[in-house]
Amino acid sequence: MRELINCSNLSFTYAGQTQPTLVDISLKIAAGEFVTIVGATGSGKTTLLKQLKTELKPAGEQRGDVLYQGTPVADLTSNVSAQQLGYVAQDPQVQPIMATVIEELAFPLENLGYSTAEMNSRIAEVSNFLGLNQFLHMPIQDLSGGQLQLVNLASVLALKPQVILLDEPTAQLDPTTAQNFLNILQQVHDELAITIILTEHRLNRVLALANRLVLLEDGHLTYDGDVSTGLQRMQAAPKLQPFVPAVPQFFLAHHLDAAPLPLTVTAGRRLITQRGWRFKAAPLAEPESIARPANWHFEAQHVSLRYPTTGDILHQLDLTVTPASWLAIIGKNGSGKSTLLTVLAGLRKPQHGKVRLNHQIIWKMKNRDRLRQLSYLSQNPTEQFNGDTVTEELTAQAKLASGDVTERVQKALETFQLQAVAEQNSFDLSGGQQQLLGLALALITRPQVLLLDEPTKGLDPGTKLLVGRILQEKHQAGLTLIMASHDMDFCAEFADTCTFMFNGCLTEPQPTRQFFTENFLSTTAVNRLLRQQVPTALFSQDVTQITD
Amino acid sequence: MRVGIFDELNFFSRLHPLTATIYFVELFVLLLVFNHLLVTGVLFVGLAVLCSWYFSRQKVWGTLKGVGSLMLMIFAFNVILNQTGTKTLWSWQLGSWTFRITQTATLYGVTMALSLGGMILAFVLFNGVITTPKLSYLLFPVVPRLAMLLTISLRMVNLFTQKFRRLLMLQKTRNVVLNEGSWRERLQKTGQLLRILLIDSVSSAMETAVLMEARGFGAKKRSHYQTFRWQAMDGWFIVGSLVIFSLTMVFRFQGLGWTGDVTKFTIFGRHDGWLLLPLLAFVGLPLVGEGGYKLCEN
Repeated sequence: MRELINCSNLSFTYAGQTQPTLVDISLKIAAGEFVTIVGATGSGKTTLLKQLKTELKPAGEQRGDVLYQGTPVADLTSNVSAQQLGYVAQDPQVQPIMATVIEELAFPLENLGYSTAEMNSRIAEVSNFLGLNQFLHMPIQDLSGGQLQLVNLASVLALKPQVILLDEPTAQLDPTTAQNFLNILQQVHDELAITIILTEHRLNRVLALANRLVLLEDGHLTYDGDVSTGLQRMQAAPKLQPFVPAVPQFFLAHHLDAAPLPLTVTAGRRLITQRGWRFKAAPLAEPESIARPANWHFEAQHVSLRYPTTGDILHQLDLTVTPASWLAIIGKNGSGKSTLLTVLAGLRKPQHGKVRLNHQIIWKMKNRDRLRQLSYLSQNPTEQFNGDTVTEELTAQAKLASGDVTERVQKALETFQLQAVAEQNSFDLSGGQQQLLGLALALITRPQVLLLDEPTKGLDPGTKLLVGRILQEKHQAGLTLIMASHDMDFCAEFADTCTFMFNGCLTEPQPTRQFFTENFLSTTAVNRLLRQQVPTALFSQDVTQITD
Repeated sequence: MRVGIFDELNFFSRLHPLTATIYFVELFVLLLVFNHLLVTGVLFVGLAVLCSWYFSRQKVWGTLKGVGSLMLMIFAFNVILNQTGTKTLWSWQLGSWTFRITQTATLYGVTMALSLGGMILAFVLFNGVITTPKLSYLLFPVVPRLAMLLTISLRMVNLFTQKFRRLLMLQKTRNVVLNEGSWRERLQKTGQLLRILLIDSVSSAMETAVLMEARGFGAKKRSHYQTFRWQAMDGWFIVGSLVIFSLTMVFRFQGLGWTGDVTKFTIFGRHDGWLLLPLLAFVGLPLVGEGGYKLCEN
């Protein structure tokens, strides 16, 4: 196959830093490949991706070469770079610049001076291919995240690129929308033979599409080859083990002889049936005892809320929260989960109904008094930062509650592994570190209740595990958690009750295992894989193989 | 400025941007050149009907509430401050100073309120019809950089507003509350919130700028995507509006609908009736177009 990209001995050090982010990377990518670059937060995968397009290169010192079809990327004209190397960013909101979808699709074509007739035919082709016809005249601000990311992809495709670079394109999307986006990406790759280079750390969906896996660890390229072998290597490395998706992880954890490793539930089930492998439920560990606070009361009664342009988002909603429980609210984007959390946090007042914390109406409480009892972490933690250094942010928040401020700040830095970035500005942290700081800010006031909106959104599996363990520890000490999440595995592993947000209301909360066992669609990958043999299995450690 | 405010299938939004702009220029001229109560009243009511036709009840009600309060203020200020009019309706003596409410001040106040209220309604309608893409289309041939800057600015303003609303809500979790504490504290917290907003917006805008460049912005001389086509209905609409506008202006030059001396203001000018029909026809022209458009449906 024709070679498109050639990185040889590439090293890169960010301006103002002494340690290189990329070290001696050599990588060749041929036309038509689908390459997934995997690595933990801070491993350098986004930095590597940005080296492939000159306009995206961050400030810093580069050594080694990056060639595109034999020409150094830095020597490509803006015209060639824009036409042949497309880029889709992680946050769908930052790319669009025009007012409507059709204008956004025309934007790159206008930049390169195309005539209206040529633009018409390209926009028509792309919008037909991606099914955007019905959105063409919609205002950009009215699109959902998934639709917006599709428009971003379409805007790049309109230039008929040779390569599309995508930086965690599904990180901000819910699972269904992410799957739809990846299906379209597969269509783009398979039918148009466009080379795809994608960074990702939620691998359960994307690996089935990729034909090549590149592993980055601390700026070093540690693996470059087929997906199945790469997964085996990841399973062997403790830092990368959490990245292995549930289905192949099940086969690797049980040492089942599967080559190549199945990547989807269907392929996994087929293999289990073919080989006649049988499993039984493993004895479950006893739940840890939890300190439950006495005389504590938190409830929502008949809460109804509507926005000026919508119907009821919350409709006569009732919720009584058990002290020291961990409730997961599961629901599709737009179902009202985030709105409910802001109402419970006293940040938004509904038109009808009451939310009471210890018999006080939550939005009538003094802000400072409320913050001492209840914390809230939004799905975009930067919106809760004040733009100072990590230590200053934590100190300011710690002062809102009583106790030794310095001691608590030091403890928080240690618990959330933020010592190394303590003097950095909060806006300069990586996404994972920002989430950890957000959580540290929420917990430093020692609240009784913590409300979390998509706490694992955009996190790599290692950081996700760290977040889960910290929260579990606080929960066992008596913290009540209410969490809205799309992450079935996280909810199944950590929450003790789960409920669906549907039609403006919550369904009756159920114990987690019962909830996921009874669900058909919203459950873990292992449950879908094994439900015919062990209906109660949620994770690979929940079963053992029967060996006759 | 939003786009696609009302149903894109209607006649008014289907007009070529140039046609719609010519109509609005004529409308604004008409709002400026008359100062008789009946004429401004007819224009105000006509525009209110036009807005009710095109916008949702909620938007119309919201606009009328806002416009109504402004009109009341204009009326009150005119009545209170204008003491030189004729025909005293009510007076109040305080020592040597006499406060008077005159017929002149009352009539002038109502006329001014109606005129300015009509102007705001016309702007609301203009905002709904001449959407961002249309404005950009109109400006591009004349001032391409300004057209692009306008588009980018409007998108940024939109993002900025959304972000401000979210920050206002979420910064309460950091005890940045604008409606609690002393005025000094409130002022400090407002400054703090604006600082956060600025940091956050600049950081997003930088990323957007890089992504614009990645899609070839600045690589070549830009072209412009022509999405609007001139149709027969544009010709008919322009001719119709120009004829009615010219007729109205002829009447105006003959002195109808305007009184230079405010002390001679009356409720109804002697020949104002002649103006009502062309003015109603002009304001109602889009609705006539809607009717014709419906009739042409298969």
